[in-house]
Amino acid sequence: MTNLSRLTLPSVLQVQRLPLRVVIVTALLSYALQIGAIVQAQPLYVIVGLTLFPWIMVFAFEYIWKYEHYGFYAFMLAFVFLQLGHLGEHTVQIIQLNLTHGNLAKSHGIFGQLDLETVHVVWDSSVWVGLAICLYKFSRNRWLYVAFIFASLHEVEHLYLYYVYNFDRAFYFSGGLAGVMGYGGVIGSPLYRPYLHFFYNFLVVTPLLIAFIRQTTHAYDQYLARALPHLSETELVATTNRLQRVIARPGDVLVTEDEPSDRFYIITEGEVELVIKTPEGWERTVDRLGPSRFFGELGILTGKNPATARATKHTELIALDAHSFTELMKRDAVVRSDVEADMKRLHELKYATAAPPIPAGG
Amino acid sequence: MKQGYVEAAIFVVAAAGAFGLAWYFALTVGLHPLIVPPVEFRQKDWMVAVGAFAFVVLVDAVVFSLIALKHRRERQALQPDRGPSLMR
Repeated sequence: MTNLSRLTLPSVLQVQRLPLRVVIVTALLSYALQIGAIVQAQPLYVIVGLTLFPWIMVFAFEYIWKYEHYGFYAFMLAFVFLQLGHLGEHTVQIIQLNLTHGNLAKSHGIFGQLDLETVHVVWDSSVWVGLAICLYKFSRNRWLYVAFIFASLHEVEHLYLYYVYNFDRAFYFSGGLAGVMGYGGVIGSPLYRPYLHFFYNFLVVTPLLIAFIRQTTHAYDQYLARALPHLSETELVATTNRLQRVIARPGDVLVTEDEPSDRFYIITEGEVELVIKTPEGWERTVDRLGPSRFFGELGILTGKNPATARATKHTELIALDAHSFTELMKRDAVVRSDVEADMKRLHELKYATAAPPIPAGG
Repeated sequence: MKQGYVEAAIFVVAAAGAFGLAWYFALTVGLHPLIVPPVEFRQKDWMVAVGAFAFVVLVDAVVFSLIALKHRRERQALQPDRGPSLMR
């Protein structure tokens, strides 16, 4: 009937939407493309690009789900990957330098082989702008300020290098590629250019990762927050980590009338109809619930659901187990009153004399 | 508070470690051939570096101003019974 995937640790960091078979197919496709590129003796950036391509497409699918559930935090997650990718690029360059005994001409990283300066100025500018956006959004996160300041210094370096590369090519090739802080550069330092930029990246990545971990402790499901708007942030975060993702196909019954519930459900996509049986044996739809609406609470609190909840189309829900829900109700009086108001509304709907009956099964 | 110190320590250790590693590679692996411009040419495009710095500082200032504005709006929204604004 339903497909459940249990969420344990910080749910935002777990893969939620991708079924295992999709991951397996993606891995096979990725390997096939990688082997094909190697056999055809393609350059390193083509091999890595083709290997990553299927994963990027598949994770974009997962990412949309994360954005819907966690809002802007999902942007930060993607952005952290972008910066880690940049650090990876520099790490590869350092490895290449070690293998080629410091030959820079043969050590341009992976994507830097396309055009070293252009690739790095685009990548760094994206990191700088992305950090500015993250900082505006999560402006209480101090570590983002640290990362942003170092990203800004790195940006100065790349803007200068990009200018010299494009408009003073002779100087660039006679040592201008050292930049501002590189050995022999405008200001100079003991570090040669590739090693300096490797260091710059650590100065951005480390505070960014600390900021990201901090932000993770504040991330919660937006649907939960909309359904129970009076939950405190602490409760939202704790409850989010206990949520289960549920998928229902059209016609799937999630809770049954007059029976207890084992979960409290919040709809995130699709629609669920609440159906009651009349004394004459007819079915009557008393309500249709869309995203951010919830049900199942009465079945937990009283042991009897007032109505059967049935998916009318492909529906995604998040569910909280009965024990966690009961604990939450005990702890928070305001949330309890929210839930009680909804229970009252449902009770009134059930006993209202409206709408002609629909024949059972019809 | 304690968490802040731990984070700061992690940052310092990571930064020092990365610098040490970068320096170690600079000394042991180096760059070959190492092309360094003559001293009199190193600051040839210094105005470009200053321009790049000024541009970045300007953008950062805009970002920080927007954040300050956002915090101000949040503070105002939290004030109870602040009365009608004469500026509206």
